[in-house]
Amino acid sequence: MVIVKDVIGGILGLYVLAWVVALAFIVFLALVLVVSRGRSDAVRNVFRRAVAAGAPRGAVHGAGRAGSPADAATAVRDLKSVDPGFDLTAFLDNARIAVGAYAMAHSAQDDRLLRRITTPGYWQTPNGKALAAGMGEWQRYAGDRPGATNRGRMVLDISWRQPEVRTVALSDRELDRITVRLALVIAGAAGPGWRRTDEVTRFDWDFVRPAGQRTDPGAVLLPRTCASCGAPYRSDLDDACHYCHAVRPDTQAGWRLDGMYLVVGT
Amino acid sequence: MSGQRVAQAPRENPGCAGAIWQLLKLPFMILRVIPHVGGILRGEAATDSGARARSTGEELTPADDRAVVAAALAALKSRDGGFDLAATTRGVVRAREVVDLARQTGDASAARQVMSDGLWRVFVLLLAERAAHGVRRQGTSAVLGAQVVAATGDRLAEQLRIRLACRGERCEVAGVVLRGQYGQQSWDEDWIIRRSAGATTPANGGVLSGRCPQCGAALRVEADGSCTYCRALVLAGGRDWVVWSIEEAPW
Repeated sequence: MVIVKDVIGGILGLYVLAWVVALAFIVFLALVLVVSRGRSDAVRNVFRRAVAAGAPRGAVHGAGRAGSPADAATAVRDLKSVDPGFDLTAFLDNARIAVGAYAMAHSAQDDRLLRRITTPGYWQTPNGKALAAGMGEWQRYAGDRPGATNRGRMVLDISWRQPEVRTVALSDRELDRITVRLALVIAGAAGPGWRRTDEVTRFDWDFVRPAGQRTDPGAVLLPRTCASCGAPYRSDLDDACHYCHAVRPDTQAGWRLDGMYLVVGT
Repeated sequence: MSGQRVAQAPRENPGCAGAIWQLLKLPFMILRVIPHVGGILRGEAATDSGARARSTGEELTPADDRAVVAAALAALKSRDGGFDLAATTRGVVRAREVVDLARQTGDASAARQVMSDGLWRVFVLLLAERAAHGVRRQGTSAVLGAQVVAATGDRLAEQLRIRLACRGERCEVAGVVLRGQYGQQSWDEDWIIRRSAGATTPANGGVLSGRCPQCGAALRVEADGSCTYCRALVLAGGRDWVVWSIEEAPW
């Protein structure tokens, strides 16, 4: 009887401890919000510097990092000299699709398009793992219901600001690599009451293709009909043909998203 | 991961017992987040939210000096003798009407004929997401004036930022008003058009005038971005101006 009491007491004690740790964590997150979203830019900058200093390698870029715009422009011209079909406007347009795909994964828990346009290596990066873990958590509770309602929010607008090529590296470890910096703007609404939400996040995005690959100027970015049976796809998010189940290719003109870095700076 | 969604999560217990069960589980649900605290902190550090986002990240980019813009437009005109700023501006106003109609009806295909490939694909995602939540755009507006506030060009691309002075009503509702408000308002929108540096103004006016820049036919665009008649890919920006970005101040 004494043993049973001890066991029950132990379980209750552990449960109380779980509550204590959980509440302490909530308080910590609340403090982070106060520091990060408070009015003082100085305090926020200290917070940013601390986070950047403690971030694992490959997760964060400083605001001033990367080469000069002039160097990047020269490198793009070098790329164009060996790949005459390469077009910066078309390339950045492809980059925007990755932005939209990321926004859908981040805000609406729907990563189907993002999965198609990323390399396997993307999901091994710290930010790729964090995104996958976040989505996994939501799916654990929401199940087979992609869409922003899973977390009580809706996306009203997705846009980007000031995209610029930061670095171009040709034949780097058998890959051509272009890094694009931009600000992702997501306007939404969150329940209850559908309060307005705004987020502006700065990123560096790494796009890669096999070294030596050349641009096919006539290639269509995303086929609208299945190459196997000719049936139309129902949505941009479709991974496969609904009729013959053939996998849908997404060429992105050969460039795929390989890494993503949060830009933290003052 | 999409395959993992096939496994449906168990439905929660209904009623009072379900609520108590959720409360009992709550600390463990919170503790599961702790391993991800690093990602949460990094995201928070890189993201401006709320009023800070609206004031620093979403406001329209300040206009460039008028002399700088005029010089850039003159350089553009000297390279491309067919460039007509008035016609281009009219084309942008027309493009806005097309995109506005697509927003009102929720039919993204209407905007295919003016938007760049990437912009249109994101637009499709967005309209689908909004439709899933029953978000409707209401109100009509007109463009009262247009001004080029930035013009850039280099050996790779040319870009114009055209600020449209708009007046009318705009609001988005899903049972409640999500943003905007009823009644007449005035606001500015930046419409950014872009083309490759090698592109020149087609004799027939091009994409913004509703013409294929390759074959000159009345523009009918397939979903893959190709002209119905000549099959040229006309909305990648390589041949003519395309609507490259639409920026609105917070509303």
